[in-house]
Amino acid sequence: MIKKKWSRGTLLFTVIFVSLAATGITYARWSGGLNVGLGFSTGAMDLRYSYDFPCCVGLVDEEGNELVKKQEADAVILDQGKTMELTAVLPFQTAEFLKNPDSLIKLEFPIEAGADGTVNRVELSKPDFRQEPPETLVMKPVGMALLGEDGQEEYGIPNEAAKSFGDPLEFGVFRETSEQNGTATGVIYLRMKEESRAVVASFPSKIEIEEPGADNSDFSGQLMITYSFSVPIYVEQGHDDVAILEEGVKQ
Amino acid sequence: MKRKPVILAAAVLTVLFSGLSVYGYWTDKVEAKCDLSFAVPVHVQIRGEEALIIDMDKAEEAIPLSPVPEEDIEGIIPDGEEDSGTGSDLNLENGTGENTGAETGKDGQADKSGEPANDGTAAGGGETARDGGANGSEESNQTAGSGESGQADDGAEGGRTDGGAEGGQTDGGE
Repeated sequence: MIKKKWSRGTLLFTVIFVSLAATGITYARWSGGLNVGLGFSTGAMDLRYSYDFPCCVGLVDEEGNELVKKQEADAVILDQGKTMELTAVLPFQTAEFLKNPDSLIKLEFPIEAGADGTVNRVELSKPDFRQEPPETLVMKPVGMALLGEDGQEEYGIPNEAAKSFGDPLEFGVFRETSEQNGTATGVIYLRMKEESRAVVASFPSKIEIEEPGADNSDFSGQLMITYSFSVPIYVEQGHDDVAILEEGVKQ
Repeated sequence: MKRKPVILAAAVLTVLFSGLSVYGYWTDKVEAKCDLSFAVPVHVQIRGEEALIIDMDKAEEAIPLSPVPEEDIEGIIPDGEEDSGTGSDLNLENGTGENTGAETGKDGQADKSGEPANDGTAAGGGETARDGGANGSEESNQTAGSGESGQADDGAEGGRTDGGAEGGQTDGGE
């Protein structure tokens, strides 16, 4: 009877299962002992955007030299620090991307530890620009504004002209976790892809506006195209001597 | 022996999920929604009045203009209103004259334009003029106000006139 109910295979499976469970429990206890004894943790990571340091946007080359001086961006932190809405104040000149094919948009996000985390040390990482970027980011145009010579006056853009500038742009993504100001900073580098550089190069250089009643005029203006995108920032636990600030602690 | 693959698969899945679970605690992520602007240098050309100007020669080809018999004009304009309705300084004889534009219309005066002039002077719409509407264009030396398409209310009523097909400048009545 017993042999019919508990075949050899079932018995073997049960034994292995119980053994694995026992191993897991034992390991958990052992791990917990390390936590207490050595202060060495595999605990939970809880990151938040830092309210205390600004987010910055700039243009750099692969050696880190600034091609366009970095600017402080407007940032709104939402979702208890888990989400940020960042708006760069100044635009990038498209000519910079054509002139410097290896230019990289650099986005810096200061990070701090949240209240729910048990870890406050992060793994620092460096990007390898010689490799093909492991991720691709698509930026979609969400708005356009045609500004006059003074950069103030705004003109309506004909639909046909707007279509010429409506293609999305693709960027390769590199990630870095660095230490700045004694705290951790998540850095995203965006390199414009060759195809998108061709798109930018093919943008019309002239916009013709028919405006009955207005005086005829010619001038050099700027078309401001706003692109929107979303990118996650990952940070891992580490043993490096960089501690992210705990929530609410200010330097 | 048949259960061996099942056990193997179970073990692999257990390890996989355990690994993912540990990694979930090991790392964390935050989300960044960004708006970046790119400035594209462009040369802007605004075309205003030029768009309303048509070529005189081409206009004549497209819209045949014919002289308006004077008796027709006399038949339409009531007696007594002629004086006020013809306050225009347009010359009926040669179709020339200075455009009086809106003021003429407001005064309830009708301009009678003459025959289309090719001499660079006003070519007001003949039929428009017959209706007693103010007519004429500031661009009259360049435009051909089409009599057929021009519409005019009674000039005595402060005639609203769209003086001519392309004489869009001449909303004189308003």
